[in-house]
Amino acid sequence: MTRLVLAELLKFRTTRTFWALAVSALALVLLIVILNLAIDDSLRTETDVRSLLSTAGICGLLTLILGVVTGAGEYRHGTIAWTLLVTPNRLRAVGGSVIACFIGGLAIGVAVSASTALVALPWLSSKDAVMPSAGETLGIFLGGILYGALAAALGAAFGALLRNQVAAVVIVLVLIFVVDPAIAGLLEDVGQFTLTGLGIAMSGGDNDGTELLPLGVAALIWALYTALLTALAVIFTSRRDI
Amino acid sequence: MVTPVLEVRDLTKRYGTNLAVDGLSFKAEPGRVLGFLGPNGAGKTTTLRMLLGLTLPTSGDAVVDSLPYRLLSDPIRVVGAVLEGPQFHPGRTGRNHLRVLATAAGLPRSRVEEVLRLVELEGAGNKRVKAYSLGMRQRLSLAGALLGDPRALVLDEPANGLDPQGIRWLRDFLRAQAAAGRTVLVSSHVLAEMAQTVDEVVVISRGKLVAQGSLDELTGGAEAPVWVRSADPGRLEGALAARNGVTAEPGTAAGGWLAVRGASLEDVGNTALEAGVAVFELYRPRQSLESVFLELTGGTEAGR
Repeated sequence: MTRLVLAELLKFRTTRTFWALAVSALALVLLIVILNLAIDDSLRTETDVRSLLSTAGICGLLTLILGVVTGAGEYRHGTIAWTLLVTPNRLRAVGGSVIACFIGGLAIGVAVSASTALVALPWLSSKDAVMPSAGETLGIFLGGILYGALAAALGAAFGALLRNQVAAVVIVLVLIFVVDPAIAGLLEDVGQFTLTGLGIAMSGGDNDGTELLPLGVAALIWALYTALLTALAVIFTSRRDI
Repeated sequence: MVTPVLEVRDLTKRYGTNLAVDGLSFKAEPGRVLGFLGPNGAGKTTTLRMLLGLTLPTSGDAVVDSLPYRLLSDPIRVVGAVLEGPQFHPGRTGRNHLRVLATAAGLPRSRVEEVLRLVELEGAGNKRVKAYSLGMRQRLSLAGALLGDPRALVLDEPANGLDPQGIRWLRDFLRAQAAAGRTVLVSSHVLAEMAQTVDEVVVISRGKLVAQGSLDELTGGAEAPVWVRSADPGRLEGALAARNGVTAEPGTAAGGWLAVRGASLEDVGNTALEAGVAVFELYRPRQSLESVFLELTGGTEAGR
């Protein structure tokens, strides 16, 4: 399994998609952080600061897309045949891709969170902003990193299950931007179990007054969703012709 | 390492109402090149993909030394495969493609350089695959198949896109692989090329086996008479007639030709030597593989 994960990571390092999404995540988060910091009145309360620091969690959306593109991309480019010729065990093949995406998402999460911390913390300190405790701040950053990693893993499993790259990306975007808000609006108790609800819970984002699960529970549920999608992807990949 | 036998047993693949492969059975043995022939749509690629675990059989077995490909623990070292119309990530280089495969298989990077040299792609290894010609992609695919130095090769139309030098290289390479004791199963529609490469042939049409055997058996070499032109046809005819089960008759054309049945080329040559008769020409006419193929498959697409 280690060899397979290393091979998948080599694919990341040598294709443009990974770097493009990593740079996009970094640029987007830093742009939002810098714009917020530059507007004096936007950071009056501890909640404002917490919300600003959790901006790093935005990278979770991009790592989710990275995972989807990676998982389904094997089918788009036909490279899945090569993968399965070397690793015919479908569990190992899909699992390797999911783990590699987790590591790739983790790397992006670390880069984005570290950059956010480097830019925001000294700036906030100079503005005498009301800061959360050091433990809370660390929790926000670690949650953002974990969200980035888990999102990429779930995306990879979903991509491998759906196989059609464009359809998979569209479905994920519709889920995040249409279905999740609709569920949160209509069924408040269920909203915390949606991808968006879990993502906000992990990254410490603004919950708009709705109830969120604790970070650990949210991460566990997300991991269960990922495991379920991975299991389905393995079953379908085993039963489908390539 | 034991060289694997590639075997297909009563293999059937159905797509809805279309029977792509229908109860097919054959075996590819070590030390031999087995040609897998059939018209377009006859089921060759489907069969080979079932052997490689990429397509699931509806019934029957496709196995590598009694094991389905999916159950092989280290398949790249056992079977090297070239798929028809191989696909690559267009943004990755050829060298990188092979490095990914080598990493997944636990092979050293030096092996990547070896196979790039072997398929004469070392100069293009750092080019993105989207800039490769069809022939270069085919060579890259072959490099991928050879990466694990496998004991068996399954090649689906490996000559596609290769130039004449490439085809000749491939022929020599496959012959060398078989001579080294490896099992080689190769499909191709270039029949003239196959005739020079393979030891045995399996011909399928509409997913069914229509013929199987050595090239000699298929092209009727064993049954056809040996023709000999000599300095003294009368004396040679007598000498040949004295041998058990051998008949010799003068040919209708002028020039001292005899048609000899029941004897091999070697028998006729030795008899002439013993009789002290100079031989000018000696051959056994045979049908071309192409004419046998067209006869067996009806000479139309998909054998229909």
